[in-house]
Amino acid sequence: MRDKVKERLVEISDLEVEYQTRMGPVSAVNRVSFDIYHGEIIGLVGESGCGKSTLGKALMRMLPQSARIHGKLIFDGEDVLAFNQDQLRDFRGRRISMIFQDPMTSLNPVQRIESHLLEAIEVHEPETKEAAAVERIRTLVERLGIQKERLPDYPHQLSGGMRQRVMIGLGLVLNPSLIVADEATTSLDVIVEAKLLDQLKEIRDEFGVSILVITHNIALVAELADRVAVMYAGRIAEIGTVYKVFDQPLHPYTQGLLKSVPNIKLDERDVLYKMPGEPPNLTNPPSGCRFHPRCPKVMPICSRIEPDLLDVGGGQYVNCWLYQDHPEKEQPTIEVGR
Amino acid sequence: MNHEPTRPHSDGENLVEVRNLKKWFPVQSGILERIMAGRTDYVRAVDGVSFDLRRGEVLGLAGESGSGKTTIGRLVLRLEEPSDGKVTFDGIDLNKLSPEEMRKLRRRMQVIFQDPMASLNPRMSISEAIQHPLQIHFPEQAHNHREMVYEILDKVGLTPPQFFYDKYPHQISGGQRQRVVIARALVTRPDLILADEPIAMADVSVRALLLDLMIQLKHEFNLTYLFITHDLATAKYICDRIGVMYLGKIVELGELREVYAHTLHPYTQALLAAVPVPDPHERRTQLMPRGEIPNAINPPAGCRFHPRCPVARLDHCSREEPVLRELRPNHFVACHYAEDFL
Repeated sequence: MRDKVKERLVEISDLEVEYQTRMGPVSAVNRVSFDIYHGEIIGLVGESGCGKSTLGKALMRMLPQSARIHGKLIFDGEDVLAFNQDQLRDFRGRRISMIFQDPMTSLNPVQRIESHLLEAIEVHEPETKEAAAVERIRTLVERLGIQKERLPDYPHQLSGGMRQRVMIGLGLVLNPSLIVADEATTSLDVIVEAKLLDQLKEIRDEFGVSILVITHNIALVAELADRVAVMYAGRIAEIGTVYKVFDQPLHPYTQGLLKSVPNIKLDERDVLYKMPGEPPNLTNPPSGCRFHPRCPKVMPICSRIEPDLLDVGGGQYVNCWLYQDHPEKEQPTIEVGR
Repeated sequence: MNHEPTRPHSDGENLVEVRNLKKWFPVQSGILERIMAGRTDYVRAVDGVSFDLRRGEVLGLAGESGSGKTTIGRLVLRLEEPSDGKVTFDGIDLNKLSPEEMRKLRRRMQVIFQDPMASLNPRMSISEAIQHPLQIHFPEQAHNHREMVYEILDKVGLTPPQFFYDKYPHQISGGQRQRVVIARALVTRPDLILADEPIAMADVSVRALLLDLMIQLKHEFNLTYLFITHDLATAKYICDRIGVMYLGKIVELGELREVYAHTLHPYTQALLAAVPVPDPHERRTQLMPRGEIPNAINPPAGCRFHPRCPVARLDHCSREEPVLRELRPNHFVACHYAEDFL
């Protein structure tokens, strides 16, 4: 699996998702481009409303009717945006799967654990015999630390951590190449969460699956991921290996975010950075760079022209005028209304 | 501005004293079931907890869900009746108060909950929400209410107050809503604030501002906080002391920096190690305790943590319940083998 690490599994380029709302169109994902490699864990972090969940759903094409999606989305060489309904059904589950935040609302309360898992196999692999499917399920759940005696249980009979492991099982049972975990550990207590993180790492090592972890918790990404993409107001602010981004964040938003995250170590970060303002409402995003009203390093160009994601070397990309040139950057022209 | 110049104050160092507090919730089961079983089961949410809340301090209560931390908060405010034990507020035994006396005392103890959207009535404007406690506690000062609302809006950073006065909760941001909840709690000039996960819903970039506001207001209004949280990393930035709870009991209690630096209970050690650190060079290597927090209906005998504890000795820990004892100055721990960690 290790030698496949740098092979591209997903190519996302200039992806846009627009919702039609009563307040007008909302561009929840705006010109987003990045790749997901085979066997990597990539963290997608951002605050509420930044578009991270929309992006996750867009990868599976699970967006509501009102959403319009443009750009390029290539999964293992195939154009996902061109899939018809049959191809999509086959694509979801078998090649990409999702682990959601709240297992209690994602699992059917009147369906046994075993039949949740069996159903997934029956729907997606009608050719698999039931006996073989049952065998596969037993091996899988034991691997995830659930005794096979618990398979006939209903979701309410399991503990929170076990239910979340069932969710992982559901995500893994069809052997997908990519698992999208959207706030999969958010409702869990820290010790249960820590164990689940260990489990996600083991799954990646054992099955070679790629995992996209969508979260608001940047500390969790430092603990778990190989690379991190920071999203702000529908755009990628910065992307790179966790070592690059955490050691040397380039985007002022990433810098501020990292300085405002509590650190439990007593000898580190005694004072939290207080970022001014709040994340913008996307029905009416700020002009130019969407972070400029909160940015401590704002320049005249920032409110007028939007920067692009720029390769700064070492696999790090940043979306900020500080690191790129523009004719107007040095000589701001201010037009006065005629 | 002091609304009540003659306020009885005892001179004690402690604003709140909690002694052997218990809250057992009966498990709702059918009448037939109860007759057949011949007994009622109880969830022992809080099972014998004692601590002091000193004037002007921030005491954190931390623990996982189901540890009883929220129930303790509700008992201290007497939003729940205790099954046993005693809460004293400023020298007054809450158990002995009539409903009317309790209602009056409530002016001095206010609460901030986690979800501001659930704490605010969507049909009440911000000024109405903040005036509501004034109407209850200071009806005779009705002519001043508008001014008092302006003043408190200003104090919590909702400026200019005129802009927010007639707004409704859905018209402002999440961080601003939590400021409204804080303003509503402070407008009666309380002594004690119960803050139950007050910033857990806020975005990361907004949390630091809210924490800072709470600390600043604490100094300005001479407040004492009981700060309930599951987030030990955030607790570091606001709490002076911390109590760690497990299954209805306090297992460790002391100055926060002392507890974090010289952790004496194996459960606290696991809890602290489990918190992810925002630095990929500092990834966790410790193993986590096996299993999950057990059911509070039938907690394990002896030390409640023993089935998951890495240092438990079965013959001892499963039989004898450890008591909270002072092992280092002002640092209490309930573990038979805490000396091993000195």
